[in-house]
Amino acid sequence: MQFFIDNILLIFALPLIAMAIAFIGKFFKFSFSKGTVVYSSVTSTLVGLIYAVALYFYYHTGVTVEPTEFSMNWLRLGSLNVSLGILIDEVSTLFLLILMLISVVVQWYSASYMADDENFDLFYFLLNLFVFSMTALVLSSNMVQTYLFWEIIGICSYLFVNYYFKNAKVSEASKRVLIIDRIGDMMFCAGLLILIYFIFNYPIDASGELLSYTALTDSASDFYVYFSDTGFYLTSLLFFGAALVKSAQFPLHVWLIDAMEAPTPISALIHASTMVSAGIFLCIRLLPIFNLSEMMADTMLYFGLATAFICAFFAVAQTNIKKMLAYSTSSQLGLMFTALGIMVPATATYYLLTHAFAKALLFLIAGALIKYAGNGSLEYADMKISRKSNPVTALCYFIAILSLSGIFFGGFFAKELLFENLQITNSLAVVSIFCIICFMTAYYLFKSYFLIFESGCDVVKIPNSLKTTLVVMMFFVIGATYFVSNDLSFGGFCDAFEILSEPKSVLSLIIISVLGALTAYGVVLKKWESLPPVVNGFARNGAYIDKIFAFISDYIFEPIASLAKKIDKYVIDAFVDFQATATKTISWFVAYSQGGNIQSYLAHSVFVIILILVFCLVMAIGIGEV
Amino acid sequence: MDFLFNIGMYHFLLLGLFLFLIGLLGTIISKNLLRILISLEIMFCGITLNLATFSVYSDGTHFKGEILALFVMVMVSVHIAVGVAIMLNIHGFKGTVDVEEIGELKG
Repeated sequence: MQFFIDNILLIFALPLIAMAIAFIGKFFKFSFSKGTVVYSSVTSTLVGLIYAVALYFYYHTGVTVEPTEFSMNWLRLGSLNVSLGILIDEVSTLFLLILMLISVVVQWYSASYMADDENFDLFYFLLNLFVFSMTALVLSSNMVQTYLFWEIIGICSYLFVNYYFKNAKVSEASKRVLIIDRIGDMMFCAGLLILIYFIFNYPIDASGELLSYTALTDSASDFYVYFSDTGFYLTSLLFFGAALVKSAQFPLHVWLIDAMEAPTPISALIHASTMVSAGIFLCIRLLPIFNLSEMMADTMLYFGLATAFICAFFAVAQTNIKKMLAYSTSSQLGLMFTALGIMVPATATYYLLTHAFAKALLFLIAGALIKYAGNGSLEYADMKISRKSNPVTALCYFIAILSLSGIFFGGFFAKELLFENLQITNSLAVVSIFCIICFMTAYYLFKSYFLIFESGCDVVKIPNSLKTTLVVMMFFVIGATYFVSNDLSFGGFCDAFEILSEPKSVLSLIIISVLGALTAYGVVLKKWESLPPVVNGFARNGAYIDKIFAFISDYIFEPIASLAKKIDKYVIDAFVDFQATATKTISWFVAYSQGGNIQSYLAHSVFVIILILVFCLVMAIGIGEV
Repeated sequence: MDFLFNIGMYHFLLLGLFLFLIGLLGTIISKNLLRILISLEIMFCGITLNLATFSVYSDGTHFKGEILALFVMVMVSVHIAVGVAIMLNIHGFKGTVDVEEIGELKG
């Protein structure tokens, strides 16, 4: 084990090497074959996976293991120490495991999925860049480092969304993704600056370590003396806002819908499982700060629950498979924020784990369906395939939605844990909203299943290489169930077996989800009445939030921006231009005297000396000395 | 008339001043580097004469100032030797000693 901890830098180096191999292929005449690019990339991630598995099981043995931290000093500004470092503990190993497992499968899957793409090298270059920066993010030891890689994964996301940049619609969407992403980044930056301001201005012992995660608990409580409660709440809110944007929470979830323009393997890796979990990661890391203000927990709970409800409602009406999955991702991430809001981070991380695998599998299947059944179309109507001719794909899809809708496997335990904890801490209203969310989740997932696999009979050939990856991912989904018994280190985490001893609660959750599935069966196959058309259209278009944002930007920001532009042009530019002109005129006069002839300089100095002498003479006469 | 025939300190000082001004004028207006060096020498002569004059008319018993003037003249000739050497090198590089041609300080 000590070997893995000592050589942890290897998992940073390998993606960079794989990146360089793809990079050389892209930008020089000489190029590696596609096989080399894929194998180097998959191998590097496999080594990372070995590390991740070893570290995960070392840190999740049931007893608390002391976190390992390496750090070196990066910046020393007065009382502020910013370090670059690696922090390995329970949280980071869990995120690392999710990242590595999914990226291995996605890189393997992309080898055949993207094989006929002209920018194949660029794809793997960006993929490895993403794996590198996400690894660095989850292993970062302080907030500044997290912020750094937070930005880089945002850029990776933008570049992937803009992957098919020749399409104007894709460019527009990627622009929106980037801009909304920047809002979150700015909130993070503002929060950091506030903390740094306090570090500079309140000289207490722990101030140097405020930015570091290991010392956060102690130093945050020291700082609480200086902050007011409101100040702490507002600062926490800035960080929480950054997490909300990154994790696609209402109302800024619109970027995730736009991000569905990315290639589908990327949707599986970045926009379903790993990058969007960065927000959860940040919240878990900053829980010591969040805990100090009383309102923060409720804020997280209600924001998460609202997102989960609204986005589940939007997902119900979607006819586009990727949009449905995107809304579903937002909704499930909202449930994770709910779990954080009731202070059960272990439930949140376990939920994250099960959701990440199931959602990644759904996206991978969706990619295969889009490419081989829908011929590029994303609508359910265009991808009706027969369950009997594609039993493996259908089985994978079914298992993924079983887990995600909380009927069986890991998803069930995750939902059940959340359900129990909600019942303990919250009112009936919250619990019933949670039940409605579960119902809707099961409904929209099973609706997509019935629409795709049960209402058509087209024979679709999906290549075996893709099917293999799907099956591997399916085993991950099933295997995720195992981790429920393994994650006992956080407080407030119920034992998996205790859950099963409470049949009433278990049954109620399963019954709700199965009811959702049955409703979907009825609506799709028995042609029951669905939502009324007005509501349906409202939900399908995501409550027209896009339009609202467009209205705000057109009618509020646009006039302000054009006014600012005029001020810039006619006031600031004019002033700057005047300075330039004045300098130019003066320098013309001065430069004229600089003829380069030393004799003229001598003549000038003689002239000046004569002037000084005459001046002195006049002054002397004036004061009557002569 | 008295001023013309009774040679005194002022005559020597005026001679020194004239020598200095002639040298200064030559330094400013000549184009040839060698002429500039000669003009500098003339300026130094004026200055040295000034020094010797003050020495003679302020303290007649010791010869401190006169001896210092002799040393200054030797120093000036050394200085001119260095100047001529630099001038020869400039001629080697540029092929000319015209100060209009060899200027590189133009701003």
